[in-house]
Amino acid sequence: MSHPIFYDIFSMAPELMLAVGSMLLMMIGVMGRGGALKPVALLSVFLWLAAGAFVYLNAPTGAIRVFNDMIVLDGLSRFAKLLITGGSVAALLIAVRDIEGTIMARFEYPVLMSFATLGMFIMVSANDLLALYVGLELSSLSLYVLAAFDRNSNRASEAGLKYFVLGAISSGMLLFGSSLIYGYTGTLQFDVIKATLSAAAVPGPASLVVLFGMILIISAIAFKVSAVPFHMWTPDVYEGAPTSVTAFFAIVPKVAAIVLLMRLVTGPFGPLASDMLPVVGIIAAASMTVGAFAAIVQTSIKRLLAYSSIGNIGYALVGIAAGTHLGLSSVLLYMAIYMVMTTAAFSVILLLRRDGAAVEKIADLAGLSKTHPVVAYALAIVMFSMSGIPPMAGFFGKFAVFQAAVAAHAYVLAVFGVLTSVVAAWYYLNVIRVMFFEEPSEEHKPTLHFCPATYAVLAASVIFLAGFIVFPDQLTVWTANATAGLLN
Amino acid sequence: MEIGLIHYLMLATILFVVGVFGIFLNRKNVIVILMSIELMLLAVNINFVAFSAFLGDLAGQAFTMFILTVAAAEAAIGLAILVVFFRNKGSIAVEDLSKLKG
Repeated sequence: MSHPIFYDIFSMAPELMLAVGSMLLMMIGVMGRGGALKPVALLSVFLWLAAGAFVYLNAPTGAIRVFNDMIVLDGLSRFAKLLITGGSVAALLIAVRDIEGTIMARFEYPVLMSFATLGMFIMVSANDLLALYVGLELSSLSLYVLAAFDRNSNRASEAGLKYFVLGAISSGMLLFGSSLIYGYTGTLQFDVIKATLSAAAVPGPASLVVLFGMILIISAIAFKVSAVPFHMWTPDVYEGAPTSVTAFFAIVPKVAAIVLLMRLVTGPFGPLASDMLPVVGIIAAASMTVGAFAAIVQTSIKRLLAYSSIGNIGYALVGIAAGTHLGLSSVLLYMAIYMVMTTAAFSVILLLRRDGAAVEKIADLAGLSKTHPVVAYALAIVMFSMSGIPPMAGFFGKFAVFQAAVAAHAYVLAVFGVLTSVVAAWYYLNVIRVMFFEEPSEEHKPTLHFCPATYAVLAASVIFLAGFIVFPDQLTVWTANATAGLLN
Repeated sequence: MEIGLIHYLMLATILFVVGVFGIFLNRKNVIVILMSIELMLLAVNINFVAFSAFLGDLAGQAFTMFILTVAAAEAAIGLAILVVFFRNKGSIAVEDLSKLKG
């Protein structure tokens, strides 16, 4: 159990690199005065890639626990950190051209993203309620500031305020739940909590305290992944925040929160699975329903993608509710594919400009196939993938999740998922209809931004989505390996 | 009457619930929401310290220190966002948080 301290520090090298590097970037930004955005952004991309490379090269065998068992390094945390690195890099690459020349062109933007990335790294490695709290807050506090980053905009500041207030309530719930769990088990450490809970099995008011604490913690995480009934902030924040920030919100933090939920469900709350998995199942069904039906009436692209993300989290939660290894591995697969789909969708939105800002309305896309055919076809592939139509990658994600649900005899959830994805297909295909079969309106024609980085991200994502069918097994093998030791 | 663990927990729970209601029932001022958030976090601190003393385990009090620190950062960020909001709207009334709907 006890390693030399150097071993602990070495294992945490990616996090330490991010922490020290982000502070150095802040200093570079301050010394560079006004025009430091581009160099700081470039350096942060290199910093994240270096941290990601370290995570990739330092593959742990089994689960390694460091710093008095507060941090765990295993296949799950490694896979999640690689996803987070990739997502953050993509989100920054597509953002830089968007914020250039606006009031948001400040070096704090990549620095805040860097701190958020560090927080998410700690979240997915947390093996202790304290580490969980610190990681979650570090990422959340950075995200609150980013949401209100366009400080002259009414809508952005309102989005930031709403996100802050609701986020603070959720962290209050997380803390109250943590205190109850601590009071019952006498420890904050996940493995000890798990051992205590599986040994105890005392009925009566005491175990009610544990259940209450667990529900509070699960609710707080459900808020972070924007699952129903804690989804209210999502459409408002997605719509109000600057589009490049919305892209970051949609691509990265959900992956971290879902991985954290997976760790909680299999780790400390594993002994309570019979009480908890039905709750997760109900949340999943509600999220899928709200995501499918509420999106139909939306006219704003960002609100549409917000409801789409609520629905997609519902599908991912189906895999967690299955409670099997197959289910957990399908969640990781689903989140990886979902991340690429959102990246591609937001790259297209950030490329298309109207009146000096990214397009906002679905109607702005009318006739896109005639005016800008390349991006129109790219967005069409993304929408086909999101609605789960083979042979795009999105189909394999949904298939894996529903397969896991059926294998775990959760037939109701699987049928629910298929039905809601049929409803959801309507609004995804509606976007394609608007692009290909409606006439472009003369005065509202969007123009195309020239940004090689965004094009590169878009091309890579679309190639992944369309070409996934060529190597469908590889990613499945990785996710299965990443989740291998969790249920023991 | 001996004051025991259960009394501390009841006090903390009452304060926490007051904080939650303060957020949801308050229709006037965003500053009151920030105060309610602080109340929620401090209620949790009472819980942690009470459990920590009862269990004879220091981890809970260490957690309290972290909560205090993070709460300070959270209040700073909340107030900063509120100032930005006020500059744009000229008001910090809860009912003015209404531009985003759908």
